[in-house]
Amino acid sequence: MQAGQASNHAQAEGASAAASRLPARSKGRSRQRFNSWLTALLVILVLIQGNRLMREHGALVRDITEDQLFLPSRVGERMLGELQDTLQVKAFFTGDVKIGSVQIAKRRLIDQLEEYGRASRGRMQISYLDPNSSPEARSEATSLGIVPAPALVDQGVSKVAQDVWLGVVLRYRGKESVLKWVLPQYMESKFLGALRKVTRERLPSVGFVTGDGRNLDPRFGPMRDLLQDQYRLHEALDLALGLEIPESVDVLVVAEPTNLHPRVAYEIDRFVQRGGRALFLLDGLRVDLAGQYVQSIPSGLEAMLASWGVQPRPGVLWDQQSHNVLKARLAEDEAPVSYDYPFWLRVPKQAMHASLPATAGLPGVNLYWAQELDYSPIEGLLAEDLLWTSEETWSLPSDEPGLVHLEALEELQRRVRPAGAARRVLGLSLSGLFPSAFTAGVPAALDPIKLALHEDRVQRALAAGLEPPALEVVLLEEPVQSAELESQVILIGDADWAAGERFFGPANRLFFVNLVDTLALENDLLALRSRQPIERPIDDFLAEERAAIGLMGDPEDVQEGEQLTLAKYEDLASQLAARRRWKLMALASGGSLGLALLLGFLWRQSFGRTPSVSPRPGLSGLSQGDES
Amino acid sequence: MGAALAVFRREFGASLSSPVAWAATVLLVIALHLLFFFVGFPIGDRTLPAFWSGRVAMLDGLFAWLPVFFAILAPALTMGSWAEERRAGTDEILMSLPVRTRELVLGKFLASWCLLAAISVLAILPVALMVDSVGPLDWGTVWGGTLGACLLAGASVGVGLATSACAREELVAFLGSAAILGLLWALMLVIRILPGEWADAAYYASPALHFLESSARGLLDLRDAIYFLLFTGGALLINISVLEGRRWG
Repeated sequence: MQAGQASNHAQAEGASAAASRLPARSKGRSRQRFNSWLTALLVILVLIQGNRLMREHGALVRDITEDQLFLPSRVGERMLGELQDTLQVKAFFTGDVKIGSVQIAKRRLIDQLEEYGRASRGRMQISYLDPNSSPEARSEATSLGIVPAPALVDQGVSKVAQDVWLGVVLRYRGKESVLKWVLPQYMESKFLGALRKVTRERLPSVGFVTGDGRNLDPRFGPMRDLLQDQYRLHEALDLALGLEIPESVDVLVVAEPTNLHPRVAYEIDRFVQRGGRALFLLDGLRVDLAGQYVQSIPSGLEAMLASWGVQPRPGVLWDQQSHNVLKARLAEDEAPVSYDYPFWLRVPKQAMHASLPATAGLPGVNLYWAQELDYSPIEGLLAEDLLWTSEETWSLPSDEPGLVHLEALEELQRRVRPAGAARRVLGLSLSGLFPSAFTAGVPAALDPIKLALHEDRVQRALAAGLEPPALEVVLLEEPVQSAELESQVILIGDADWAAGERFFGPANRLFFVNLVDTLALENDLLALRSRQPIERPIDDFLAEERAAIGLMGDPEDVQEGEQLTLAKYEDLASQLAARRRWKLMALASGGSLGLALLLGFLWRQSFGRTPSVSPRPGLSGLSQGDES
Repeated sequence: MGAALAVFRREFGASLSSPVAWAATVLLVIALHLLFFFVGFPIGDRTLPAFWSGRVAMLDGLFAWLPVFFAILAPALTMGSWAEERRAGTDEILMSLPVRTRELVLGKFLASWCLLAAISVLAILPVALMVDSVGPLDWGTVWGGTLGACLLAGASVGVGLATSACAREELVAFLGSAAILGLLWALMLVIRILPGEWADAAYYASPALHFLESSARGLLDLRDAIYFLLFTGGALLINISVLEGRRWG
């Protein structure tokens, strides 16, 4: 009885103990959940704050790519490291950006500016101003010519619009340069270009001669504006009247010289003789597609160029392999049609000098109605080909109907055949001692009235398609410098590529500024601009298989009966190319799976099979007494 | 540490014996390669052409898909780590063993991480060799991308383990961690249309962006390494905290 009562008592005690543990257990679980959530929250806060701190103070970056485009260039680091005084940089950036993509761009710009600040070793002071929230900042930005750009984006069901400011001004030793609008992808070249402007004691001076040397040809207005933006521009006019090219001019650009008077040619030659460097955009033809006429243009520099061994060949180049497409309509009421127009040359990267800074980093340029530059070696001069055509290029006479009559193009395609095809030089760089063409006598300067009358006669003759009259030239016996000082000259057998907005596109503009920078010895800027990603094309299996089968030649030559055979071989080439692709893919995937099997096998050999005693990895991991 | 390594060895070996790891390997290799060669990356702003049509020797399309695959594979590899124990009721036995919780967690983490990282490296390197055989591949991007993929794998596995610790069922663990990783990946799709400060926050929060914007392009940034360290460490800490609470609760 007593044992039974004791047992009951023990049971009752056990039950009440259990009952008192129940609330404690559920309290424990609640506390456990609370602790877990609290830990999670603390972890998130630490993550956010730690990330923020690292963003600001933990920058240690390595660019391990071959292109090396992600970090400031060595040139940039050097330019910033050489600052002698404080460079003030004011960034007019919108503070509260409502649009995500703009915020990311702004963040990247700030990161880039901070990188430059680090490279300057404390010489750069950056301040950020928000024109949207500060009237003073807005007023200053506006006075500098910085204007906001409107941005619009869909966010859910509504549209968000905001005027975005992303402008920067650099100030150094009293000089100022403004970047009115910057984006991360262009920031380095623009920023360092502006830095160069404010830190250089003197910008290079570029002389500019176009056409007849008396007036600016409006087609070269964009080129002139580009020169004025980057350099100190001097328009060299009226050289025929005895005016000289000033000593301060470093580089002379001669664009589409047209019937230049011998006195002008002499002044240009004198400039080169004293060590000045020149860029010649030569063009023997003016082509008007709309008016369907072609005009031959003698440059007036023939004697001078001949003394340097250069002779522009008459005619116009037709490149069967590398050319552009022309869109035109033959009648007003017709839709535009695309024509393969081999007179518009496409000069790819492979057809440019690979190591000269002017062409090394370029993706390619386009030339229009170009002529070949023939060169005979001259003692004391070093010539290097800058650009050239493909091997399938012919030089055609300028009266070729297909030049301006597009309906004659097809017939011209059939007539132009392998005989006479060759690689043609489009651009040349000459350096060394240049012999003068004027050692026999210096052309006298013109009387302005006589010059005006002569020009009028020339224009009338050209318009009538007649040979322009020659102006009587009086030669003076004066001492002439010849081949005494070294210089450099670049000649391009076309001027249309730099004329007007239509032809003077981004690639051609880049080529132009590279040429001028080369002559102005602006190696830093050239190095910056040549920072382009390396092209990485893969092998063209289809082209290789077609070549292996022998599928070359003009498809239009194929007779009707042969077309079936051609299609069969094209099909075969496609199949072979596809087979090669699948083989490579199978190797890649098979390699991955094979390696996986191999590693699994090696692991088992090294560490043995996992015991199957316990199906639970968590338990089996410790059931062998491995715990410490 | 010895216990952690022991757990790691057993877990890793068990994974190699289980069909899940092999299924994950085959899935990743075949699907990833097919997408890279024939589809490219058509999603969001960062669209990329397929390898054969783009005709450029680079692996950007391959790396772009990795965060998506990790959002599926990491949960698949980790869903049973804790949830299965809990469902079967054997977690209490596990917790009673004389092993520190952090060593258990670390061991399981290392096993799953090494597995996922190994699968990724095996999927990437043979393709890199193949691409290099047909064009000038930049190997800097390959090494950077591979390193970044390993760090991203660690972060993904960390999230998977933490979710598995919180869940009672494997399916719930899988869906939960896939949802979290998927949402984090999707941040980079919506970043363009987010309001300014939210965009900044999303940019910092997205593991995919930390991978694709830096190491996948060949840019090694200490800030990204610290980010992944904090992210993974934080996930492991949550994991430990949940288990500790269960152990002593």
